[in-house]
Order: sequence, then C-alpha cells, then structure tokens
Amino acid sequence: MAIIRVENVRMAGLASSVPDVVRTVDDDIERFKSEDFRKIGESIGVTSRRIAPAGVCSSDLCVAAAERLLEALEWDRDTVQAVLFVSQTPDYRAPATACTLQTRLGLPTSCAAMDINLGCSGYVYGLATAAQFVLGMAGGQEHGGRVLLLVGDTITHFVSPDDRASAPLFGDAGSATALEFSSAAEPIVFSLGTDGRGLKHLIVPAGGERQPRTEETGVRTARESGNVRSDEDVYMNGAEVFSFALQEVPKMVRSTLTEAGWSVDDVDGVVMHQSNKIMLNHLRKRLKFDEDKFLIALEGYGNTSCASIPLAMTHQWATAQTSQKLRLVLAGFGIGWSWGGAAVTCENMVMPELVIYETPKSEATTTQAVNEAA
Amino acid sequence: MSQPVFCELLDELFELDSGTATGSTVLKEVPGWSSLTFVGLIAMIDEEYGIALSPSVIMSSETAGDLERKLHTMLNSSEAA
Repeated sequence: MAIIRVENVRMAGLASSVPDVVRTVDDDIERFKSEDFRKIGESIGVTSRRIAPAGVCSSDLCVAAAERLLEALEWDRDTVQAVLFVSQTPDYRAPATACTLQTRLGLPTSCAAMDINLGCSGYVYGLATAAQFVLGMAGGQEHGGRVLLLVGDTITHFVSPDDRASAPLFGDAGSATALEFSSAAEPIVFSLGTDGRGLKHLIVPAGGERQPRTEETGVRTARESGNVRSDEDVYMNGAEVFSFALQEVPKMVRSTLTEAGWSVDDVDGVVMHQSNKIMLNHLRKRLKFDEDKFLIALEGYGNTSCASIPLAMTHQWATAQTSQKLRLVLAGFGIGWSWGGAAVTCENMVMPELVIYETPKSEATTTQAVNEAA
Repeated sequence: MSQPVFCELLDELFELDSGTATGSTVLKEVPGWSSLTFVGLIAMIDEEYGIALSPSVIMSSETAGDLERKLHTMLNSSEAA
C-alpha cells in the first residue's frame, strides 16, 4: 500500500451540507409497489435520504458548507492558498469545478485550484493531497498554507429510480474541510491503494469518451433481476463491492494503524465510508472495534459517495467548537476499486452544525422550465 | 475450533426452520434468496470460515453441498500453504 506520513498539518474545521429534499422508504414502497423496501431499508440502514433536485450541483452543496465553515473559522479569505474539489459529479465536462469555486467563494487569484475525480475513497485522497499542499505552501509558518478541501456528490442524478440495487441506497451531500500548518499537530498517516479490475462492478458506463452518449445510451431498459436503468445510470453489483471491501478494507485499516503506531484501543472513532449498514457492521466485527467507537450515520442520509465520511463526522461531532482530542481512523473504499485509510488526530476543530441547503426558488423554476421544454 | 455446519448456518441466515437446508438444496431456490441475502451469505462465510469469497464462487455453485465442498477445498489449501 502507498503510505504517506505528514507532519505539522492540522484539520482546522469541517462542515457538511445536505439538500432540503427528503425521500423515504415509503416513497420506494410506492414506486416499486412492494412492501419489501421497508425490510431492505432496515437492513441497509437507510430509511430516508437527501436528494438534490435537478439543477442543484454538488458544488452548490459544498459552497454552502464552505461558507458556513469560513464564517465559523473567521478565516480571512485572502489567506486561502488552494481549493481542491473532489467529486464525480462536476458542474461541467470542462473546465474544472474548482476554478469556479475560487470565484464563488471569493478566494484570491493567487489561489491554486484543481479537481480530483474519485468517489467513495475520495475524501481520504483529498485529505492526503490537501495535506501535501499545506506543507508545500506554508514555508513552516504557523497557520500558513491554508487549503480548502471541498468534497461532495449528487450521485442520485446518476441513479435510475427503478433500479432496486441503488435507488433505495444513495443520497446527496457536500462538505468543506479546512487545513493549515501547525507545528503542534500530530502526524497524519495515509494508506492508499487501487485495483482497477473492479471497474465493471461499480460504474456509470456511458457519457465519457470511452462510450459517448448516444440516443441508445440514455434509454432505460430491464436488466439483471428486473432492474431498470440506462448506460448513463450507475450500475452497482453489491455482492462484488462487498467481496472487494472484505478483501481490502481490513488490510488497509490494519496497515493504517500499524504505520500510525496505534492499537485498536488507541482509536477514539472509526469513520468508514458509509456504504450500507450490513457491510459496516461486518467490517466492524472483523476489525474488532467497539460499537460505540464505530460510526454508522446512514439513517436519514443514505450512502452519499465521497461526502459520507465528513457527513458522518459532522453528524457525530458537530458543535460550535469541539475541544476534545479525537484519534480517528478514516476509511474510504469503493468505486475504482480505490481505497484509502487515514489515521488523524483532531483537536480544537471547528465543526458547525449540519447545513441544510435550501433549493433556490429560481432554481426550481428554471428546472421546471427545462423539463417542460423537454 | 469445530467445523461450522454449513447447512445449519444457511437455515439461520435465511431464517428457515432448523434442518430445512440440505446438501442438495439449490441455492437460488432457497426462500428469500436475493441480492441482500447474497451479501449476508458472503458475510456469514467470512465470519465462520475466515474466507472473503468472490461472488463468482457462489454463482457457480448449484447446491449448498457444492458451495460447502469449495469452502473446504479453500480451507485445506490455505492450511497447506
């Protein structure tokens, strides 16, 4: 596994946001005409989730979180030296969404900006990249090298509402994390890996250069087990994802702990990508973590792709200012296959309450107009 | 550690009456077989046998007995190694 050890970088704050639109198990029961979805919802740990209406982008959710975070941190925006955006649902095919974020957030033009295209593992990769940026740019100066890491997805825009495997599971969310140089910070250790053979088991096949959009790729048809979707929708083979996670996640977590010099008992909290409750419970047992240290925060949100780790942290620890020192193990894994673990000590992190993103009225009107025109 | 009895574990997983599943039980015909129990089966096998099974091994097993034999082959080869 690729190991990165970073000294003198601290997570200064974290905020998360979800859209104001809720979809519930009852909606699934009605859609699929099947009471089974109540039991499915209980098993996967998702009884409702947040959905971004068409026209609301992951960047919008991230901006809402970033605004709240910058306000809470009282950072002078001119001190931000880089903005990184992790997502698989960018605003445009081109340019990079991070460039638009520099302007939208009022950051200086001296600010570096770039996108990172990763899903479930993306938060950890984003942190690893951001931490390197901080070190490189701070020049050893306290509070220097400030980086904003925006991580979010509106993955439901790629989910067919008639695909039983994914429709009841996914939700949308955004997040913003602030990092800066601090000589008092404890080291952060990252452990990263990839196996591209997992490509076909979790994928949106059409819409890129490999398989461009055509009239046919957008047509939803009945597939395996009667699931209805198009090649522009996400396909997920849950059993393959689970099998992959069993193979790699325990190894990754153990390697992260070993590199950090931590035992299982040293850890105050484990925050895994919130894939689904069955998988999380099994991984917890396998790794022998206590239930009260192991976050399961799917209820009410669903699996929110790259945003699930920061969202779970906000759900668990959000207060105006948390002074408690927390040794956390973060573990992202999934689409790619791609995985990343991190051992990070959080202290005096600013963590505002969850931001509920209000869909702008004009947005709804525009969306309606677009739909009517189509 | 005593060998888990595979069919008993299947009964438990699928919430069947004890003794329902046998070596000749066709997996896909087990009441309640779905993609979710498929995931549950992988978890159960990992927990009881310590094997992170590829779904293709289950897919290519017609009966409970077929799958159990494959598990034992895997266990023996890992012990030999």
